Amino acid sequence: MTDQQPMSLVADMVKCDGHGICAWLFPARVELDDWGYAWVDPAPIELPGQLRAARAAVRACPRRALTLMPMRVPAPAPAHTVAR
Amino acid sequence: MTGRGLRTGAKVAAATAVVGGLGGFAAATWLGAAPVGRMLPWIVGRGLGIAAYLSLTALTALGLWLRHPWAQRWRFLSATTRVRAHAMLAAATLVLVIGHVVAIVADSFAGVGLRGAFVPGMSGYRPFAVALGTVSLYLAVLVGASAALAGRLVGRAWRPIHHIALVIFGLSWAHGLLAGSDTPRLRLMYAVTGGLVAVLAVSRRLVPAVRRAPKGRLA
Repeated sequence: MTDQQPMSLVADMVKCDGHGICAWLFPARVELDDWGYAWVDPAPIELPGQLRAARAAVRACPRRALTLMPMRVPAPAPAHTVAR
Repeated sequence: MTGRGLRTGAKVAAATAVVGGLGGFAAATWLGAAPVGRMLPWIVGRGLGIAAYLSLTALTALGLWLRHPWAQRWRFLSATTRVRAHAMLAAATLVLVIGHVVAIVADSFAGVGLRGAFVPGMSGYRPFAVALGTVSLYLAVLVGASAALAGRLVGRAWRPIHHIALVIFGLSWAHGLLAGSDTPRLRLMYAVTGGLVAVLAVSRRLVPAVRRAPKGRLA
């Protein structure tokens, strides 16, 4: 993994207990739904400031429900693949 | 907290302090029925104290409401707005408490003084009651700082520290009741607000939570 690799915030909805600190620390990407559970925008986080906020949200979550992980970039299709 | 959040929080806190100070001043003169004149610093200090207490009540009640089982049935704000309002109320309470302490310390007739305000038991005016306020102030700084630094310096330790918030409210309630409730109207205010927070705190423990799957998240 390199620093240039786009990262994405992922929420484990089984662990999430609706404390809401993530929405306060990282409002650009985390909202709370009607029940107070985290609603995370899975778009890549590239700006350094947003990455810091995302890391703070991950570290602050009392239920450890948030993870910052490298985005899965789909492998390009082989050149010889024929579309059906 | 982001820079934008801090700026917004500062604006809201400043506006609340002005409105709270004026409202508290009006409340103190109406509730306390004290003559305004050379007692102006004392009235201002009391007014800011009442405003700070009411702001703390709203802060604590909203904090309890954030994860209250009843909040799942009666929704009056979105969850995101409630979290932001909780943080703004914390900033406003801090500003009002600072104003309260400065006004009381600056009042030479109050008998509290700088040492009395910051060293528990050193106040010439009702030392025990003032000490309760001093201790609650220190605990509030601890809780507020840990929440503000959540995810950075204190990681997820903000959460267990946050449980002290109810102790802070209890100490502030007793501080207000013992140091400044000299009229039946003020005692009624403390009874109503204390009862409100007590009902929310107990019911949050006792009412079974209705855990629902978030909409559109599970197949």
